[in-house]
Amino acid sequence: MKRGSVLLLLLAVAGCATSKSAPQQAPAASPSEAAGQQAYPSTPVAPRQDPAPVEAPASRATDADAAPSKSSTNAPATSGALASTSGDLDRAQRELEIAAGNCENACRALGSMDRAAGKLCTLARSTDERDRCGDAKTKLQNARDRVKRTCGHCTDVTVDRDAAIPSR
Amino acid sequence: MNDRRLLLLTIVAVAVFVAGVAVALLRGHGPGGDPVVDKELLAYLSEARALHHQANLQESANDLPAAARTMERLVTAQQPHAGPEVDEVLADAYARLAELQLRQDALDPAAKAIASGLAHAPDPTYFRGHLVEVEGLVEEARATRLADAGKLEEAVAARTRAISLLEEVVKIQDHVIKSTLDDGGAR
Repeated sequence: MKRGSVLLLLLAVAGCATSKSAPQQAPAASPSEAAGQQAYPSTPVAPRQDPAPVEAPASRATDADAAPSKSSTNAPATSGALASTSGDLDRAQRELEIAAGNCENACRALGSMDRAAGKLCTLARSTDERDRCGDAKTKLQNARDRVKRTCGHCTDVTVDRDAAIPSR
Repeated sequence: MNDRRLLLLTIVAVAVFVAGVAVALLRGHGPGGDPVVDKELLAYLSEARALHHQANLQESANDLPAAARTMERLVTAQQPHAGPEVDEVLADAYARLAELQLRQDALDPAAKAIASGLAHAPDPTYFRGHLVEVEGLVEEARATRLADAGKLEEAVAARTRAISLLEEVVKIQDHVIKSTLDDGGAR
């Protein structure tokens, strides 16, 4: 009876540990990422961005400590460097993926903005409407600059500030 | 320690263990900390992708009514559960449905599809901006139709609405670009 109680107490502690350790896991991939495909071919969606998708350094250190490689006993310094490099690569890859997702989202928003500003200016007739067209053009040009600075270019829309409005 | 105390201790231990596992599962993780894959959501996203592909083929064959019916199938398909991914699928599908209806000159059905889509995109996201963009195009088409019918006053009102909607699109998408690029991914 006593042994059983001790065992159950250990299990209880394990249960608590499971619930507490859950948030420390790296965020799960979004469903579309997990499926390895984009969900909406008509307007592809960037992978859902979690607030802290990059693994925390502390967490990486813990992982490296928990699973040392065979060579760790012979060359702990080399192993540590390799683990650190591997962690850095993972982190860099994730950052690249996030940046790519953000640029995809920014580019499609820029495309919509480009079309809307172009149409708005086509419809504008009165002085007030022409002023609003001017404001929309300025916003679009600034957005083109912003996207160009961060993403370089977009596939379906220009990021050239001085390109025609609409660009297509 | 007497048997009654041991029994009480056992009951408490079991309760704590069950609670711990339940909390882990509620947080989307199995007892081992593994992510729980939402298979229903994945199946729904896969179905959405397949239907968009089908609509692409129908559009390529210039069969717009068939493409619109395919999008109607998507917006009426059984959804796994409420969530941002499902809302994005629906907002996107309604926008495409509205575009297809607009190209067939079905302005009122297009406006209805946009209203349905906007219900799934209340925040200033790309999807909301795109829906408002299509709404602006619908109002522009309405203005042309009214002008052709000699209803000039109503035509001017529709054109004014179109301009306001397109102006709103510029604001929404500008916000999306700023928040996406400046805030590291906020939508």
